Amino acid sequence: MANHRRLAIALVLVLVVAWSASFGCIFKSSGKRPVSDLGTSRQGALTIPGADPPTLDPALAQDATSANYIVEIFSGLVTLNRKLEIEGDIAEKWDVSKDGKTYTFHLRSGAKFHDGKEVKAQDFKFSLERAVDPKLESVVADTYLGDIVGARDVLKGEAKQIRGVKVVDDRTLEITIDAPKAYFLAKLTYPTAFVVDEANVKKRNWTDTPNGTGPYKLKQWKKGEQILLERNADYYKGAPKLEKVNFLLSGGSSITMYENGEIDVSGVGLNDIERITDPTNPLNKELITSPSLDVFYIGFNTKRAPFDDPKVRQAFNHAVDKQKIADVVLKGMQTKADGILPPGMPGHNASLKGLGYDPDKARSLIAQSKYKDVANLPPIVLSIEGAGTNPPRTTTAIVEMWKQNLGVDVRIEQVEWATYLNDLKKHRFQMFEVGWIADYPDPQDFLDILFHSGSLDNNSDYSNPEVDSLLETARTEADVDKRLKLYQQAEQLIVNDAPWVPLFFTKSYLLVKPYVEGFVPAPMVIPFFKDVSLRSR
Amino acid sequence: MMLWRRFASNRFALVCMIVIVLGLYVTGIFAPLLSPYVPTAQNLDAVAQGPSIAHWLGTDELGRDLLSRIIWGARTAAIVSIVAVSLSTIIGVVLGALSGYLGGWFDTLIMRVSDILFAFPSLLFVIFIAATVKPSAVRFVEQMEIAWGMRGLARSGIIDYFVVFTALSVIAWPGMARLIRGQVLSVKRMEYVAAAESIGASTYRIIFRHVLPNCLSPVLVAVSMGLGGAVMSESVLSYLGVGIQPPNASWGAMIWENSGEWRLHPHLIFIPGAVVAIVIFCFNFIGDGLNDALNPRNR
Repeated sequence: MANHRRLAIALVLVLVVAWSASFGCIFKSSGKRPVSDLGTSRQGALTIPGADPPTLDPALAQDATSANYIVEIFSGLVTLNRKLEIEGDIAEKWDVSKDGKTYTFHLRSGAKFHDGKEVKAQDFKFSLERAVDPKLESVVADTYLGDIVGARDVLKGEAKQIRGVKVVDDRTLEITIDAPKAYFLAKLTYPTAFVVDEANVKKRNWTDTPNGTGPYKLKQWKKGEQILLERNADYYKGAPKLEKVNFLLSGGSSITMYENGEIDVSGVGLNDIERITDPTNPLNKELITSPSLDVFYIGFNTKRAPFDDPKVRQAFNHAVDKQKIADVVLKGMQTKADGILPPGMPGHNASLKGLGYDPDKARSLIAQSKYKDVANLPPIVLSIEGAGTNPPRTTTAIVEMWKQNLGVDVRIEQVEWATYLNDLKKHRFQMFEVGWIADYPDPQDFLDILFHSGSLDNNSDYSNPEVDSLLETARTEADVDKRLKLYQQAEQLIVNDAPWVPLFFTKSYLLVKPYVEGFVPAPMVIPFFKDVSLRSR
Repeated sequence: MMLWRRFASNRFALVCMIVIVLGLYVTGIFAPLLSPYVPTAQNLDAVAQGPSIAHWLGTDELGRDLLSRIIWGARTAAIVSIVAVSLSTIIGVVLGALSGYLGGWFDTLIMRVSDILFAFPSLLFVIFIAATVKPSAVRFVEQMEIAWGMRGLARSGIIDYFVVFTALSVIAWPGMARLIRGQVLSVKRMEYVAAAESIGASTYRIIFRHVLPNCLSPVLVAVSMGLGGAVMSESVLSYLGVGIQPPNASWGAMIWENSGEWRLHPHLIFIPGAVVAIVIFCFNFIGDGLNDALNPRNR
């Protein structure tokens, strides 16, 4: 579930006028700032475009926009560093039992909430049990905490406490999971497992004044205008250098604001990319590109006509010239996707055999399918996220490829984002276009969550017993190479069955002012601003 | 004939008339024959080209021939202007005439309804109609297709046209109704109307045989202006994405599709923009010409 929103982000990335994303978050830009205030209040503050987060409650966040702020304000037992390795956060170190099922976390001393209260093991127990409390209705709790023994019983309302979470003493916490799973620790880096302050969350609208443990405090949140983060001088890993991060939320042309010196970072969209990549343009020196761990795709509902026949799904794959989409329509900004795991993800298979562009094969597959001819296909609707404006160029191009190569008319339907997520989860769409960005660098996050027949996030309603059994074996396989092999086998089977048309893997394109140091875009959402600093101008 | 001669004596209005008839309506009707390419056919090997012999006006960001899209856009503009203006004129003339002639509660009702429609910002109202009517219309047509075994209707874009017609007629009829009502109020006091009443002619006959024909000259002017307005409104709706949906060609949608490219390929926005401007300009001059030709004081 967590994914959707993230996906969404990737989706929005591609869709919208503002192609401006960095580290998984959409970069919107914003309203006017009085020029007079630029000189003074910007000292020590990084000003960047942002978007209003749907929530700042770590237990509820399912999207990259929310997570971007949450990972700065809150923290958990473990975190991901710049190299996407798991490292201790509030937990200084941990031991894993021989059977790989019990994790004993030793909390560091001196980890405090923003109000100065020390973080204890009891706080983690409270936070985890709060996240799976059915009354909270978190849509991500099952995906991220479901491995803990007893967590699903609490979710179902059959228990009050999670059996697998034990407070040994103030600074020792023991978590037991149902099977030795290599990716469990990675799941704890996701906000669902973050610690919150019991006294704080009992207040009404507590996310307006969150008492977190992260490197930054929420100083101000004026909805639709500004989010101001201020550094936490008592941060247990040392106070961040950057004093303030000022997110402007009100939209506008971020690249223009960047050129006017109103903001320090801006995304670059399709419309500006040729100008910015021109080496003679002075802005070219300020361009930073970096790959994201995500994939953008068109999914089929494999239980609904005509996509209940794999031959039809394969035909729709073979009829799309992804290379042209990536090179021409997206002006080479993104890389075409044959498979599901993005480059940079462990297990990414460079020799995977995709369903390449082949219109003749596509037509013959339709003829071999149970529908025999395109004239026998039922009406086909492609649902995309949107508020009723004209569909994005990529979607128009793909629909036209189906028409030219297969003779199929596909209608594009736009659905507002919140409804879109809901309908996606309820499998109401026949065909949908969306993206998925990694929660943690493990192939399980893509393949198991999106394609296992029992997963709540299997939006294609895809089911293949062979894939299921490979994914289940991979969950507990201890040998890393063998495990990745299992995922690669599963990925190839999935690609052959074609529940998706994988389209492209994205990269972020950012303009960053030269006086901003350490601003290295991350491929997914991780705590970020503590490593950034500003050189005096 | 007198009218035509007086109209034709205004050279400028005449030229505008020719431009509209040939450039908009004839081109629109014969679009399939005139356009050198299929307007939705993309050629990703030749995107964003300037004018050339193969593509007289160049190609857009998906390699679609701009001239063909302009020609098919003319078809859209022609259909929308004719149908939307006919609908709003018929509704407006009938309701306005009844309102003016009958008076009383019927007049009050119609005039208050038109007041309400006038008071509402028309663009907002059109967007509201387009956004609310369309999803249910699409669903309805799809159900119909399944029930009757028809195909392709819901996907052909016909619904977009239907929605645009509806939205534009709904906002345009009150103006027409007011105009007619005012005319009827003055004409119904004429002696020939009293004469018709005195020999026992029916209300229907009096309105449609005696009153209306004598009220029509301002309607002609209003229709001409209205056609230009409808072309404009359709472009605005399509620009905003609630009108004719891509890949069907519409000038407004073309401006939107290419609007991000203004720095690199300004012709992609300039050409459809200029075409819309010329069409509206011509309609307005035709209206002026008609107004002069119909004005009794100029005789």
